[in-house]
Amino acid sequence: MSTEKDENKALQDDEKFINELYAELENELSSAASEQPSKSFDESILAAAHNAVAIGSNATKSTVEKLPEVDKSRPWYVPISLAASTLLVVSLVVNQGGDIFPNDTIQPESIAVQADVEPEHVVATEKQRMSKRSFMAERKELIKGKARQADKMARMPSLMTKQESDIAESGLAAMTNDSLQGSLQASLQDSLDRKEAQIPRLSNQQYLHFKKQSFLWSLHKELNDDYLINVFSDKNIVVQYKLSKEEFLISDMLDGESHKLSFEQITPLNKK
Amino acid sequence: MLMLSYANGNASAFDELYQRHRLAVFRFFIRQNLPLAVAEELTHDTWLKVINARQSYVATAKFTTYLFTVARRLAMDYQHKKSNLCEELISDHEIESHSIEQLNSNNELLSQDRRALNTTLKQQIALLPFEQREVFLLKQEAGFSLDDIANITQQNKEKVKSRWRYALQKIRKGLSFYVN
Repeated sequence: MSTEKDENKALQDDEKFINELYAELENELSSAASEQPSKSFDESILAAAHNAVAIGSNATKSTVEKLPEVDKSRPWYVPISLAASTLLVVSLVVNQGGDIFPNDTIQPESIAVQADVEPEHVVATEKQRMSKRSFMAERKELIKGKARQADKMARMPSLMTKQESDIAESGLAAMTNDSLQGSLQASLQDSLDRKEAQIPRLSNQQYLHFKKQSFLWSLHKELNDDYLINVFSDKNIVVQYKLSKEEFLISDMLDGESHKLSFEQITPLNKK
Repeated sequence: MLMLSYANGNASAFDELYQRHRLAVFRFFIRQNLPLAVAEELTHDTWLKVINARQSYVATAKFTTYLFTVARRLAMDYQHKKSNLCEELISDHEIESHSIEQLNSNNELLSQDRRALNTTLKQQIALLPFEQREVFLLKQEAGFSLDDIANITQQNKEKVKSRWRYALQKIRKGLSFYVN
């Protein structure tokens, strides 16, 4: 109970904080030109709304008498798309018939029925079925083989520990292992890149604020276009920012997170 | 009522409706960390859906609930299309628009801090996970109650409340540099 009370109190406290912040920043938040749709944009929406009403009322007046109800509710492309979908489904079912209906249970009965009606076609049909069965069997075998191969690939690391010497001799296994490591490294790199992309870029205002507050920073990493820096507040809170190389110049840079530097050592490159 | 009036052919009712909610819808998208062009496109799509669905509109809830349900679906669709929303966090032109020469005088230091705080607030909102961000924007910026948001997002209220709580905590923590 007390935990729930504490949580609610914390939530109320946070709500109060954010409300006060929004009240304080009301002018900044509402006056930004980039946060308002343009006049031409407004006009286009309003024009669309007015046109829709105008066309809608005209259409109702002119077409109600001429066209039957079906034509109004169902555009021309609906029956065509329905027919195309049906055709597609039927052709898929026909092509995959061997997979859907088990060969041994249904087919003998159908053959027996056909034998009564048209005996001369039975042999040909049976041959076709046999060839189809053998094709399906080959296909299944191929799929099984692929599945086995995939399973073997998945077990590769454990095989490596057991039969290290055998696999060391196998060039193929070495290649597979390399490609696995490569793909792992690539995915790791990809996730790191994504994480870095989410780090905010330090703005001029933030820079001036940190400088004024005498916060310290240290270089975490150098990227192609940015420096990744850790900014330390007076309460020992650390936040990462990206420092654009085009916008800022760092003088007397020292590598390593242990070297905390002041913002005096960062010079903004004012292009304007 | 305005929407029903518009559905009955009163175009000026839509003008009123649009004036009331244009900023809220636009901000809902622009604060989703989307580029201006995308935010405009999604806003445009939202209003077009409202216009096109006028005949089938039934006033079962508040119009804003309906409007933001449409907007949220479009935002979600966009997010699904883009598996990872890593757009530029804050548009460059906004940062560049406040040049340093303009900020040199002592009188402007206060407003400079406020601008930094404003920028960071937007960054913190943009860094929230999508689910928390939409709850935050619907509650804080569009003014919906937790019950309304539960309706819009089709989640239960406790889940919405939990997302709201986490969003506030993260934003507050992210702003601790600026606000004591």
